[in-house]
Amino acid sequence: MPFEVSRRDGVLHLSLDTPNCAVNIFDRRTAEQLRELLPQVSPRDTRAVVFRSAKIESFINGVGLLMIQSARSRETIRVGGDFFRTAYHAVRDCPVPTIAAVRGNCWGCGLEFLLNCHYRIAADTCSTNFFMTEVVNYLLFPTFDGVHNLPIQLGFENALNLLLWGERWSSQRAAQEGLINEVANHRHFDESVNRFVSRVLAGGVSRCIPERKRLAWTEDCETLRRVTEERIRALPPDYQQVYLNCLDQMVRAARKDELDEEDHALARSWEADSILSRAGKSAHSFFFIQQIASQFPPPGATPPGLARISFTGEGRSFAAFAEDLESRLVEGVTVTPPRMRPDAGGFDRIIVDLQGPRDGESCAFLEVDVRTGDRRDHSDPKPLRLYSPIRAVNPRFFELAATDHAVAQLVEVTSYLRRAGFTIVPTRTGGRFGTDRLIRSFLGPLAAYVIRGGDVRDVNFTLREFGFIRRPHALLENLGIESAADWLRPVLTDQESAAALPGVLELLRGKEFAGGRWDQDLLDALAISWTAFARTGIQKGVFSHPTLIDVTAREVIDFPLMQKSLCNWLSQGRVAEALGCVDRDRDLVGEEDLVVASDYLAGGRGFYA
Amino acid sequence: MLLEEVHDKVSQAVLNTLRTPVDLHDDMTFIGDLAYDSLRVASLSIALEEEFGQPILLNDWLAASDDPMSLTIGSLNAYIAVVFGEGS
Repeated sequence: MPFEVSRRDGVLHLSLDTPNCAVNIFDRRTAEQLRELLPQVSPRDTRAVVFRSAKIESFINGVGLLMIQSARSRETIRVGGDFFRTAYHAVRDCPVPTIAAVRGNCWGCGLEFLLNCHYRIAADTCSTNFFMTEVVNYLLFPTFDGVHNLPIQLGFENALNLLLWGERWSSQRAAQEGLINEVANHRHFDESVNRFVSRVLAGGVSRCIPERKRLAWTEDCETLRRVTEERIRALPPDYQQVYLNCLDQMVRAARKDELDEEDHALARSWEADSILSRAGKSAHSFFFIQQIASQFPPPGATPPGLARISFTGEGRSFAAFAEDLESRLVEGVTVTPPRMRPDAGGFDRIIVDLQGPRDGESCAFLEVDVRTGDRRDHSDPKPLRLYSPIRAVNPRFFELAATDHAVAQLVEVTSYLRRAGFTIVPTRTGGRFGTDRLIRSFLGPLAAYVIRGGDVRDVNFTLREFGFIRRPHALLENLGIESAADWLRPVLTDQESAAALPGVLELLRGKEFAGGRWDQDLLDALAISWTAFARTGIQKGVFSHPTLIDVTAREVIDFPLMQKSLCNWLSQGRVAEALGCVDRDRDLVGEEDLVVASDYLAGGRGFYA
Repeated sequence: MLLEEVHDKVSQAVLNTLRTPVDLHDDMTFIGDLAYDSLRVASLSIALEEEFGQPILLNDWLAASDDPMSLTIGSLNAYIAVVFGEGS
């Protein structure tokens, strides 16, 4: 059974351990067990119920997306949802205190589960964080009343930030905002939980679920509602409805003492709409792609996992990065304080010396080349290089590039960094990073379009209609015009275009979002440019699997969820259409890219079967 | 590729994702009988890739089902057969 059940001193302990799974999933069997157990709980023989996780890095990561992805009728969705909701309500309505002891990811329906627990304590590890995945990752209307509980328990602004804008809270932030009662030191987690339970039983802890039923709806709330609505209207059209529906329900919950039948019926209807929508189905698809990508590199025959990590480094970014890594507590790995070297004249390079399981056994050197580093200085490649040119836009993403003789280290370091909360794409590279190649394949056609007289508003309009939330301006703000121009100059054939490039990139960095029109030529040019990037990346072995390209595209350029994924979108049919329609006179893509895309077509196979 | 070959490779891939050997039947459901969750579907994709030599996504198979309980070994065989040009 998913929950291991034990009883001590009148307290019922339920420890979740989803069988045969790396993380805890609130699946049908979990709901079944709670539906059976909780109605039997009585104050006569039970003083409290404590929920824990047997997996140290996962409290509850989500509900069974398999069920959601494969549901096609409203009736199936309603019946399935009601089954789970009954389990959630049993926690909320339990006649004795329900206490959540959170250690590990508390995401999506796991956070909605938490909102039904009366008292909450959480560990201080980096994997213990709180994140509403539903809307941001899957374009789903939340199923388990989170949309109603969030504003009441955390306030309107916090609810919006968590649900619509993807804020991810640490335990410390969760405690500050009242999502949990307190933070526990991970080294003494069990003892802290026991003391917390004792204090709850003694009446010394306040319930996280407030007595009041609605918020004081102030002028500030009304202004925030209007601003949020405007922000939603700027999203791609296919995304807007689920965001607006969530906003509507949050406002209803915030302003009413009790939601009525009509409100609940509307919520159920919008839940079904989101599950059945094309954008929703595509967004769920990306989850499966991420899961496949996370299994690369395959574990294989590798030495034992890293047990100790120490840092030596140079450059002004080193201290901040080392401090960040040091603060990310990963169970089983000890991080020793960084040893600083004198600043090497502002050269922005970070070298992290990772020690292996035995003291003194060096596993890998990580050269972390942050944005302003010297990109051309890769003549002396370290076995592993951790790289991201977009940390301000996406601080969680890194490419981890390995040379051929660092495969074992690649597995270990990827595993460690993923456990530390980063999204890691492992690559094999001898020269330019995969991330850089992708950015060039994205910005190249956009810059060429404007150089050839295209309107920057048409660029933004076309990208928005296609599903991009983040526009090129955010990427360019992070990269800087000079760096981006350095990357793009080699793909421009004539000197006149090269000279115009900085000015054009300035235009793309602006925020010309109003107006504009769809230009299919631009999208065709992007399809060809991306095909060349992806095919070359696979052929040269930079990426060992197309899902790794898909994750890179999602993380780095914000490739739209509603298009499933880059390699999925680049089907043979799509590329054939692009090659047949692209206006070659407009010169939006280079000849080399056209050749690679044609080769891809001649191969007769897509990136996926 | 023959249907029989598809069937054998799919069976092998499914078995590779299970911890204990199971006697597979076409009407077995992934969610009900084999206790699959979304994470194991990802493992199945990789196991299928090992058998068929090409990356395979199962999103369309999942999205095409009428009901989660209709995701069976048989429906996966039929889907893979169509993907590789058999049975279409």
